[in-house]
Amino acid sequence: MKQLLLHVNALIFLFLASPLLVCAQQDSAAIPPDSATMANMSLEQLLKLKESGISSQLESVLNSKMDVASKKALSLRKSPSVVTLITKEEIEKSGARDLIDVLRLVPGIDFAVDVQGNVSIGMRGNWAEEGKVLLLLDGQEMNELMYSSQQFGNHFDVSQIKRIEIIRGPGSAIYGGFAEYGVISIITKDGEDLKGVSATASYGQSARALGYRDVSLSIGNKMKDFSYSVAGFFGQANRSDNIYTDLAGNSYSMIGNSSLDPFNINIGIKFKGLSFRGIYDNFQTTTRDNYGTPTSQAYPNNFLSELAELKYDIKLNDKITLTPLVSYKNQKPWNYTGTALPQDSAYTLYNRTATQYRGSLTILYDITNRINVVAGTEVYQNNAIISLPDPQLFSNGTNTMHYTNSAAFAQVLFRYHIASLTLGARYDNNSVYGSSFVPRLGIMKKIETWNFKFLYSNSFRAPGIENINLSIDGNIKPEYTRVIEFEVGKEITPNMFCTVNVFDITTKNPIIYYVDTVASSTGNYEGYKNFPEQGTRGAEFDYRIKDSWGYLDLNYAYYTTAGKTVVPAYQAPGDNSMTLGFAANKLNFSVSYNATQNLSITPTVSWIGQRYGYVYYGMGLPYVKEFSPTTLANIFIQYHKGNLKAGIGCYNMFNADYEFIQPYNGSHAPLPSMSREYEIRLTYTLNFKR
Amino acid sequence: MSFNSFAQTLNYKIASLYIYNFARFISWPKNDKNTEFVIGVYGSTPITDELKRAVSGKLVGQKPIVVKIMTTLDTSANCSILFIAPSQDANLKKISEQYKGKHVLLICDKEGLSKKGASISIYLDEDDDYKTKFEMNKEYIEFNGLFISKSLLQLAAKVF
Repeated sequence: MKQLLLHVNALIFLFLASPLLVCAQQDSAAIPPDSATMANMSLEQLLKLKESGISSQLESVLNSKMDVASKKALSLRKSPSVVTLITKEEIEKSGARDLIDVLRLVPGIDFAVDVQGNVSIGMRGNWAEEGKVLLLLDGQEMNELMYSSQQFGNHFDVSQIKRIEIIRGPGSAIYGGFAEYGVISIITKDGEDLKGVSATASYGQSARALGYRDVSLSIGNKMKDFSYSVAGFFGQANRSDNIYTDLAGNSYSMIGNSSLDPFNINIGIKFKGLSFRGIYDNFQTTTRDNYGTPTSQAYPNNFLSELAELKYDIKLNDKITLTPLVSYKNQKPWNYTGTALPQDSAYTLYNRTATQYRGSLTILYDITNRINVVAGTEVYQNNAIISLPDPQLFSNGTNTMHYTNSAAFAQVLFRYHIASLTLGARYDNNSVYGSSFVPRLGIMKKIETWNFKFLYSNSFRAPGIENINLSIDGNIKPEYTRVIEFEVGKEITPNMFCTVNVFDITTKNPIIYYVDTVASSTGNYEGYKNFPEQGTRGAEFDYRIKDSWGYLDLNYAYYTTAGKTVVPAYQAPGDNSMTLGFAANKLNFSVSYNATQNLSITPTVSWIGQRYGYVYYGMGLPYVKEFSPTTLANIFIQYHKGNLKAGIGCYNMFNADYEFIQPYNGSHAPLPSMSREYEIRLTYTLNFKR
Repeated sequence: MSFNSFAQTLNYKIASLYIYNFARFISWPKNDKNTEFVIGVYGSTPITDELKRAVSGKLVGQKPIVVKIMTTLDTSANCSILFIAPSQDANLKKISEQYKGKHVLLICDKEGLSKKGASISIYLDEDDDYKTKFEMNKEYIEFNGLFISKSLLQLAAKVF
């Protein structure tokens, strides 16, 4: 009770304090200059001018161009999707330890656990680990190719991020089969941003264990038409310092048994229109979470990715840009090649390599100032091989699998005074599971300080290699999703902006891992199969203020499964309005206050509503537990002077007992997260002399 | 009412100040014998009054700036800058031919026109909060014997 009161008091303080901070500021940006002032303005100052005054800091963010939603650079308010832009400043000031801390503050996004300690993403109440959310790092697909999953938790370096562009809705019409529910595009600092050397050391410690210790190094520069950047990220972390208890009541400490050790090198080179990106990502984790009982010791569960891409923007004339691209991807996900102890024989070897060769040709054509076309074609081949000591074979009776996919996509963007319109579609043909066609339509309209978006999108999820291999009936098909969204945005003042959106998601033939008591036609008892339907609907609200004193963001996300069909394994038993693992109500609040020119104080709070998940009950029986709402509150204080940035912070200030819940009935208990953790971060930047 | 509401048309007060700044950052040939720096306005447009206000009492070098309304095109009118009203956009190519090599900066007020004969075009950028921007055709300007300062080129949203 005492702890609850503390939570409530802290929240009340933050909410009451923020409007005072806002009111304390002069809204100078909204005051239009008089004629005499304008007459004395330089051309540079005039260029920043509009009739309502000089663009505010918030308007500059809202008007900054992002191309994740359309491949054509458009402002946030005109992008044909429900989008979120996260800036470098927000990431730095929040003291985020990793992408989970950053993305948790985005409406509609939350995290849950799969198997073997892997934490991944959910979008609007839907589990999205396997190929339903596309994760791009500098344009490279980071989803692994075997199960199409992403891995979160001390995996990617947040200190190197320039911005993150997020589509909180479908993106398949452009990006294909991994972008069914959303796209997260991480853009790191390039040579022009760096123009020097930068080093960041971060350390986090809880009362019981090391939280994390990471080092980030980067170097980059731009000389006329040539630029380069090289960044490295190395570290060690524990997922948690708490006790894990499986569904049969077996338990162990997560300290030293839930390592998250990144080793990431990211190279970018650009000369005129030619650009190269190379990424080496060796994410080494350990787990004792297993199928059945936990293992007696921690075993590796590693994810290796090697990616390379070469592309060339050929500007044929002022209107047409042609971009040929070739890329290569080599991955060893969920990798374990050691010899487990006899009592841990259920912890199986997994040594499978997936390789992808991809080629594409994209054309951007500005037919007129108001009509733009993006069209292209793409071909890729996926190969998979099982190598010793992994003793298994694929379902085709060999240790290799191959398939090809060819696709064509097109999008037309019309920008007229009456409204902007986006029409697009993508057609894929796969040598194993056949063809897919996904159209999209977006209508965007800005009236005075209001903007409106109506979006209708079809998207699909391409079955991954293991979805095909482990198909229960040997006939897995892509799943299709229809998403209808409506968003209203309002610029309340030049410093305040809010959006409200509603969405309705229906997924047909969702691909689900299924265990049956009766053998299928192919003799399998378990594997992937297409279920009839899955869906959620809901609403999201986002309110932002940004000014010279700092910024504030308050957002709320709600989803329900009421009136929708839900896959039985995903449904929260006893509550037909929720899925397992994800809260129907989630509130995020962050405010960053520049106490002085050099010092910022940034509290962030996530209030995660009631959730459901399977836990150990006693006598070896699992049961569905109703998890009470949890408040995760954090604070980070950053000081910068000259080339040095120093920060201290506390994550999970109230020491909340937060667990990542398995969002389906899959026999894995909730995975504890880190308790209260104190962190320190130092960044030193040295600019090259001009 | 904010600028981006209703009409969403160019703010001529800002456009006039742009034109004044162009006069400062572009160099005309020194053998020019005119005693005034003439900005001509061809066609009916609300910019005329704003332009008169903006340049009132201002000089380019030692020359006072004057604004002259032109009902017909007269290449001997000694204009240094000619603003072409939107009603004359259709004749732009012809006008541009007529003024070729005459040391005149032709200015329009619609995006894309500096690729169709204008030296500079001032326009509203709908994607950037309806800010007033300008595009330049460096080739046209230099062909007409005018010199553009590097700083002005850097401020242009587009240079053709």
